Amino acid sequence: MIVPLQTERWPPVYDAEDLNRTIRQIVEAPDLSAAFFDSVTRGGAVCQGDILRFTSPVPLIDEIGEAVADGEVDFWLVIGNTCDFYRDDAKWTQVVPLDTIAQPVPEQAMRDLRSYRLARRFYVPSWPGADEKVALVADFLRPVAMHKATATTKARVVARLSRSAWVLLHSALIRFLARDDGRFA
Amino acid sequence: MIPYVPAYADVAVSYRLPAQIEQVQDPKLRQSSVLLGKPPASPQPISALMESAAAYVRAIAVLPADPEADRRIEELISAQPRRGTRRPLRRK
Repeated sequence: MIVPLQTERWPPVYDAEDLNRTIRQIVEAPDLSAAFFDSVTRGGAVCQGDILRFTSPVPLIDEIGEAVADGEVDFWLVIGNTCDFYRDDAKWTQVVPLDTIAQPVPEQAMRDLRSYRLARRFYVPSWPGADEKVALVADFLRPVAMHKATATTKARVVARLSRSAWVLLHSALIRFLARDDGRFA
Repeated sequence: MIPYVPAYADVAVSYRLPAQIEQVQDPKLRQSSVLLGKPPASPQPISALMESAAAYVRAIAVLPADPEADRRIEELISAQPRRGTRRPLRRK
């Protein structure tokens, strides 16, 4: 019996060489936007790496230990695991805000963003239909716990990563969490 | 009926049960599988997770982090016009 498609996920990856090739290919792609995104209709309702649109301040604990709502953000990157969206025992996911840089982005800055050598940030190129007036950069330093229901009620998935962009994001997240802090350099 | 998958089964295998999946024809997803049903609830063996994480760590070494690039981008983003204010979440 064929069970109706409910979700889609990519299998775990164990081959560093394959990952290495995938990362090089996407970073060196002449048309980064074309290589970066997949159809939002492929896969489940929400996946890791999805770009969500909804307006909210960023909830933070500030420098004096006060809970604050900071600024207004329109776009968010899902960094929580895809499988958590299908588990009843996981109520929350994690998203990070996408900061904006007005276009045209200075040449050096665009080289920095496109090199994917930033430890704490992740550049998201324009997807089809995106506002071309700004460049979007995720900030791994400000993750926000978001109830999963928001992802399907208030928020809208406006872009979904291709497999190679997802591999790049995954690698960047692991580098962010496991990076050498320079003390032993 | 979905066959029983022991908790210690290799995760790559447990997610590729023939009854649950079909191979994707799209070349971009050729190495992927479409899961027809919920992922198994069994915890993944930590060794499999570590192996996968280690592969990512080795792979991202092709793009070593550049702290100077981080500094330049932070400076640029700080200089952008700011939307909204910072306000306390608790009433005093």
